[in-house]
Amino acid sequence: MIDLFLIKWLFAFSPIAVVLVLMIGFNWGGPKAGAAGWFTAVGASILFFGATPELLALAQTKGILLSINVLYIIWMALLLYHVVNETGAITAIGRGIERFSQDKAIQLLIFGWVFSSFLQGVAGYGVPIAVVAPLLAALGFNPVVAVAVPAIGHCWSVTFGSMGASFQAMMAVTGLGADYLAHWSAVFLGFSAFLCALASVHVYGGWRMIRHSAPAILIIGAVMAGTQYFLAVSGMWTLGGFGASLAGLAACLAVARMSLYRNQGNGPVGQDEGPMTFGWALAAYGILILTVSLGVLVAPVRDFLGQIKLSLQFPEIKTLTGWVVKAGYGQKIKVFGHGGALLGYASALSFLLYASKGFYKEGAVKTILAKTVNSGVPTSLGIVTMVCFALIMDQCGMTYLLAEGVSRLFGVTYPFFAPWIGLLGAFMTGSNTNSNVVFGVLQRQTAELAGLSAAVILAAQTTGGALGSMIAPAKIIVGCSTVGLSGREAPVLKATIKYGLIITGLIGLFTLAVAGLGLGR
Amino acid sequence: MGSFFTKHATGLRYLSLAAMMIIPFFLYEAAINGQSGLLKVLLGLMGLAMLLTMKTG
Repeated sequence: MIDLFLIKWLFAFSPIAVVLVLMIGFNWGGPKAGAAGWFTAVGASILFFGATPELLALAQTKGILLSINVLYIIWMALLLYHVVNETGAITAIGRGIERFSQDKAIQLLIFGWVFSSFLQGVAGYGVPIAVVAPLLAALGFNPVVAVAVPAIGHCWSVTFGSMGASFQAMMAVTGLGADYLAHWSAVFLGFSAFLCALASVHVYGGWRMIRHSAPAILIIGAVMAGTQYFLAVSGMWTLGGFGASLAGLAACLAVARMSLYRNQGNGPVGQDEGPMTFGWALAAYGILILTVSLGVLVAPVRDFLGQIKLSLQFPEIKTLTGWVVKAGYGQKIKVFGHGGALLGYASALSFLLYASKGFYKEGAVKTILAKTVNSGVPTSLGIVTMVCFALIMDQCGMTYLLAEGVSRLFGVTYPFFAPWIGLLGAFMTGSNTNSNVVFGVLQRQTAELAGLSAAVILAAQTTGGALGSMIAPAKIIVGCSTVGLSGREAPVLKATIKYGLIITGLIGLFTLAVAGLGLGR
Repeated sequence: MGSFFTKHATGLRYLSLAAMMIIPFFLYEAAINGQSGLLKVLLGLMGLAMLLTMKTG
């Protein structure tokens, strides 16, 4: 009986195993590995889990609705990033930040921890490492440190960054709302913000640098973690990572003026910067805050924008083995009130503002659109293939079986392993979003079977997934290519893996403690 | 054949994404209306789009 369970469990695990082996062992990208996972899921579901063509068809439709829900945010976040970047605003922001302090530890924290988190908040998908690594190298940091620090520093903001795409994905696949998930997710990610900062300065200067930076980390970390928590639990989770890092940048201004860090070279912000000043560079993000606040907090605006919803009604469906999928609506998408739509409005308004000020060169529209499409298509392919195979697994009861097996195997120690599963997912797929898609339902069902709080376990899942960004080879490769370390990624990966494993272990212990105390139920 | 995929990789990537985004809605219609023949053809097309992604993704 147990052997039969084990055999079925192994077949249920086979699509994930295929993706893992192809991505880690054979260095395949997300789209290719996701497609291979899809074929494995289709084969296993038909042969061992009684999937019918009708079930597979409806699983694909549900998968695409979930994908659209996430891709809407991703595409619009990319559009906003390119609308801003094309004016030279990102460079101007970097230049402005450089004037905050000449203290190396503070520079490292501002660029590698706070500014990289800000970039994660507005763009993500490798942009933080790609932008910050050359800036740190230009400030005189060793190339390995220049790549490793932003790779570690930005991780805590991944879930609520990119306009909350990863959090949105977790809600979408688990069917749980922000009201239930935001509290613990923000607590876990806030805790990891401090750990990421400590690791970032340790990479550069060991324990001596940690002692020197501790007051700054405590102050800036408290501001960022607190802001992220407030935004997440008040319904503005799309702004969680972005708002927190913006508040962190303001806190950096204050910290840089502390006697401990105030040495030569502090200059005022906003002078001698050419046409794109620090203030103009941040204008687009002011528009973004205003747009999202209006669309989320002002009830008449929210209700007006949320009038048109896209969804489909699905009938009850059964596998040949008797697994029942209940009837109900698929993912509902508010066409004009969705987080992606709000980002789209902010992009359009920012573009009009910058265009009216003459910040764009000729042909900028074409360049912005081309860059958005070029960066959006590979990401979208990866997400669609992963979501589609994850939905097949979910609808055939494969994920439930996996959860049952994991629950039996780990028993009471399961909470410790929850963030490791998230980390593994991000490592194998290169994305917190994909990790949440692939493992979100598994974690929820395992938590429920073990009598644990799904909110706590999913917080650990997404925190692990966020931390996985620091060890995702694809992101490290991008960072290395910007500082002349192409083909020499090993030293960076060696550094980030060490810190990634330590921080994930600490998050695992934290999860065990929270679950042990019975919190979150 | 290999050079064809290399030469047109970008276009084929866009094509496979478009197919993967559109086909599921036809799959839904076929499943709801009990058109099992069409359903199998469309699942085959979905598989082709996935194969294309594996080749060019």
